[in-house]
Amino acid sequence: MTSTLIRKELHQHWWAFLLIGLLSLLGIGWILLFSIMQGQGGSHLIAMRLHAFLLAFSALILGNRLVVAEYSSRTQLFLESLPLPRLRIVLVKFFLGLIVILLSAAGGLSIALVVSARTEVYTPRFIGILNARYLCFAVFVYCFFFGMGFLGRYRFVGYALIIGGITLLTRIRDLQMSDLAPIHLVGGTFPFEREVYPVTSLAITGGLALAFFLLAVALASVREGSVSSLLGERMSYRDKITLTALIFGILSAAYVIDEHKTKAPYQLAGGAEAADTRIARVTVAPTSREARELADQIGKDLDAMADFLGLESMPPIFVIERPDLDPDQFEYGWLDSAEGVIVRTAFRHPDWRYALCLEHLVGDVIENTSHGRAMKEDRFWVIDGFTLYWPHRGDSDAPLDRDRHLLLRALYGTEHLGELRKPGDLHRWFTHQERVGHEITAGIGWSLLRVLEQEAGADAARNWMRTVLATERSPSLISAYRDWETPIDTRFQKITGMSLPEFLGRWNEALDPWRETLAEPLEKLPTIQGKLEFEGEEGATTQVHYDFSPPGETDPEYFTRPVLLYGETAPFEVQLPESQLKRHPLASEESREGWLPETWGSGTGFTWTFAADSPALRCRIISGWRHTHIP
Amino acid sequence: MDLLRKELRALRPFFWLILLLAGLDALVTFATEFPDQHTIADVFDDFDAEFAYFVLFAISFALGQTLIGREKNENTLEFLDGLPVSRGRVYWTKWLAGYLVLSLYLLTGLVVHLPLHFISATSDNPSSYPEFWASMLAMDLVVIAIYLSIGMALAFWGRFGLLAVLFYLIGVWILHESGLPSADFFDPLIYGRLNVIGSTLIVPWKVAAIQLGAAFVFALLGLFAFESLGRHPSDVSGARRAATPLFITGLIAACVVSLVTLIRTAWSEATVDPTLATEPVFPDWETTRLETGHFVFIYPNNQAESAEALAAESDEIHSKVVSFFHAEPKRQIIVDLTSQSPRHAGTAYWGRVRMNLRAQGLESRLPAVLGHELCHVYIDQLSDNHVSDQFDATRFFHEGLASWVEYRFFRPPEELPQIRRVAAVAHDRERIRFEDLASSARLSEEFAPEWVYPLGEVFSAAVIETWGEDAPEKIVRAFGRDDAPTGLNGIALWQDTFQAAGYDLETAIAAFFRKLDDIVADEREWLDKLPRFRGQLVNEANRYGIRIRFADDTDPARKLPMRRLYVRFRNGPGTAESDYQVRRPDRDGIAWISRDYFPGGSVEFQIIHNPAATLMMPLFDPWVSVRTR
Repeated sequence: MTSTLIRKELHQHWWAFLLIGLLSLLGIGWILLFSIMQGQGGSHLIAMRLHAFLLAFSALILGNRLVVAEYSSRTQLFLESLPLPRLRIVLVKFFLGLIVILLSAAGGLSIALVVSARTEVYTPRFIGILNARYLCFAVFVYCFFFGMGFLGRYRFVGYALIIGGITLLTRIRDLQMSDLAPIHLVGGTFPFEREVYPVTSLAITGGLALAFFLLAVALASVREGSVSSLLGERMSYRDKITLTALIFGILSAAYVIDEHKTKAPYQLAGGAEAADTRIARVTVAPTSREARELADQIGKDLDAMADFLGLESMPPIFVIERPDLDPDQFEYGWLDSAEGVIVRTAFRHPDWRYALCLEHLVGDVIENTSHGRAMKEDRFWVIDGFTLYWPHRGDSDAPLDRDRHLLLRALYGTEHLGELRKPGDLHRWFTHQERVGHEITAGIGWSLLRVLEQEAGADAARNWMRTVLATERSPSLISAYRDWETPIDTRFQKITGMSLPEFLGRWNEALDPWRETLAEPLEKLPTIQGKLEFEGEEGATTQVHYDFSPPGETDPEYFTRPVLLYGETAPFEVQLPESQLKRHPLASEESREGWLPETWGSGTGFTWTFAADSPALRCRIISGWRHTHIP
Repeated sequence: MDLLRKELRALRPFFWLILLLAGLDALVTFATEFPDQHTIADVFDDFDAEFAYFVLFAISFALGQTLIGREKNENTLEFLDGLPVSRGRVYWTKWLAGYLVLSLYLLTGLVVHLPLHFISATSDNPSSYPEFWASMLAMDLVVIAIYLSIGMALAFWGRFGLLAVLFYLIGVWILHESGLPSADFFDPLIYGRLNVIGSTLIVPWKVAAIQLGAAFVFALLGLFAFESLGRHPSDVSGARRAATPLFITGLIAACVVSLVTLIRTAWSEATVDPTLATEPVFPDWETTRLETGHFVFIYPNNQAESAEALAAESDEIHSKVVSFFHAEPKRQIIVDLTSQSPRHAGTAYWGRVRMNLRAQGLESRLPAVLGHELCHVYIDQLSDNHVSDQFDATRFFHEGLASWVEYRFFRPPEELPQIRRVAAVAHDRERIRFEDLASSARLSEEFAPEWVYPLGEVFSAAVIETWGEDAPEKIVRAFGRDDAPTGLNGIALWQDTFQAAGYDLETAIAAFFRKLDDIVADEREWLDKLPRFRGQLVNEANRYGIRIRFADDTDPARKLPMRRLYVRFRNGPGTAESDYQVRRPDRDGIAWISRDYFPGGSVEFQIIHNPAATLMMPLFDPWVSVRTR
């Protein structure tokens, strides 16, 4: 009877066996091809890893044909009417398929061993390890698909749960896919490990294989096979759609949950931590006396800022020394799976300024706590100004020229931009930054906040800054909707008692007297100018010719280190971060006109500006950022 | 029209699924982003185009299968035959209905995201890039036609249609791996490699046209099969009856023939009849196995002298490396000297080394190569392979440390500038950041993957000068510790590892850049004499060329003979290194390459020059991308 069953299976599924034979041939062909290509990898046995994939595929086909096809078409009912134990029917199927898969595995492995003989050293142990790993893997994949086949239409749900479970496991338990036992057996070390049997992986894989085999036996036998019969019914069209929808729904939910998960704080080895802070956690590395003092100072300032803005939490701050950096350079680190603001700077350099460091940190912290909401263009002037306002805070009634260089920035900026009188002018802040540079616009923002203090009172000004900068709602439509409910300009009026046009009028009036008072230093501030031309060559590459016009005033008090800043922008971007800008120094006479050394492809996004440092303003001034696509 | 309405009604579940997917997309966006700060630049950065097109393919394929499969499974064919319409008309109506549903899927994506991009636009970047969206939509409308036709044609095979697709994709992958330049023409998922220059989408129209033609043929096959579906054989013409089995047989035959042809071609390249070859072909020699204290050398008998000379020194080399790493010596390391890899003098794997005894140039110092490769073996051993598991982030350290050991123990001190000068050029001309070094993929995209050697060597030297010669061993062991968190990569991985080893990564980075600055200062004179180059694209009917020009044509002293120049080409930043094509310039200074390699409409090239034979590698200019017309 058993032989009849075997013949029946062969007759019924001959083409599936043929297909598996073809897959085996494909696998063997791949092994041969790999060896003919002189084995660009470390061993010809590496080809077995693709063979393993084809083997798994064969197991899928076998499981599908031997189990799923039988039970979905309900032909097992006919078999069960025969004078045979149900278990024998299942075991015949199982062992027939197992023999086929083992033959395929053994065949592939044998061919691989033969073709590798010229460049391998075979020992009994090595061959034993290879056989144990590969055949155990073969048995596992077969048992897996054979067992899952008995779940019928719910096998897809099973697959989804297993994949989802593995994904969760790898995330929660910090595992890699290659660490999972069955995958490890045919993983990276498969062709090379010649001394150690992977006992744990073999045991786990064998155990899993046994579990799936027992699942098959249980489902086939329970309630006289009625369970497997029920499960084997075909999935309807609607079932499939529902399952697909469910899977996508689960994936989407997992993504949203992951995005909202609170990340663990970053851990930095060593470093001095700020003492006696309420909210701010500041670490400065490496440990030194200066680091400890800096940590305490930053901690104190950020704590005070948290009180001022009413912040309830703050990301941890890490300041790391990079003595090779220029004293005015700050490099930012980005953390994927941890929380914190990391900045590298040369804080022991004699020309390093604490105020500049705090300006950078303040902006970063607020961007972090507001989840980027404070960076929206219609209110950007507030954070821009605040990054200067906070490090230079003091008596709100003090005249603006207490911080002369900041006032000069505001005057210089407004001169170049024209007066800002309408709320719409404030809503185009990024355009202003393009024209005069972000350090100048920060000066304008600073003056706006200082004048607001004087016109509306310190409390109103603080409340306004709180409302913009201290929003701690996480990104979502609901948060945005709450923001839209009261437009920013309306909120300004409610808090300060002035409309924006009225305030802007008063602000301009406040600045006007200073234009006269500081006319002389303002006049000496240079305007940076220059030209760039794209000379397209025959074909599709372009060279760039620049011509820098040095300002008339060459007194180093007002103008140093001229440079051309430029770079290729990413698709749809018009700006580049500082770290990705190229620099072409223009200090010498000969360098003021010439060709950039690079070649550029047609259509590439290109951004550029001429720039110089202004000691009077203590910042960079620019000719204006221009963005274009290379013709 | 009634037929179309009937088909659309039958596709209602798909319609709801598409709306659900659009809804989920919107939900995820609204639950995780501020909708008025959702710029196209931000979205493009995070967009996984390959996955998106894979999903589009899966949905289109499933839809195609459903359109035909349902009639078969629900036995509604007799009803259809009772209608006063031909099967052909029914088939094309189904195709149209499927196409409309898929078009809806495309449009829902636009409907969800375009308004958000519009309201998120800023004053400095106000454009909504309508040209880009129009190109993308046009491309996608062609793509769904291709995918739907494939799905409907293979619907007659039921589940085996899916198998056929899987086979086909494996075949395409094999073609890619074999380096066939036209492999892209056969790849239905090529559209997932979005090629955007500036804000222009470079659509591979040539590929799309060929695939659309093939899809039309598929659709016709599907039509023939549909016309004979469920009918008594005598009711169907012989040709149409034969279509499906012929197709199946043809597909199997094609697979077998392709495989046999591939093997035969490869075999014939390896063993061509010498009387027919234009180049001499040499036989493979038998190999010998030679055991030493720690190695088993396998080498061809015609290279016995050099192999045995290497073997004689090998145990001493091994002692030095083991002593440096304070490692337990491995019982036996296999050294396979039969490699003929043109790209590497040596490669190392878990307990096994392959070397090319015929390596030319500097690499021919074989003990140094063996020492270098042994370092890789022991780095893997000490870290339990974890350093190699994260190869993208650790490649520079793997190669750099091995290079440091190589130059320290196995080469004379006067050879050190050979590697340090390359590092000097990289640092002087480009703003390399540590983040670039800690990502082999990024280094390859922007500069040259080969820079892991010189820059990694300087990094290792900086670490050793800061903390002593024990430091690398501790760092390597820190990678392999049991409680090392997985899932880290890039800088986070390095910070964690250095911390576990008791060191500070930032101190190492500072020392690294200081050392680079010192090397640049020492080599200033040499660096200033190096020429700079420009490349100019030359278009011809069936090939592209890059004309190399010197940046400073007026100074003859800085010219180099063309034989020291190469041009390297690739399809795009994500191209695997093994797919790079290298060409020498001709007498006119133009390096030519067939157009077939670039169906996507843009060419990326890199000029490579070798100013002195005594450098450990040539010098690489940055990659340049040009759009072809």
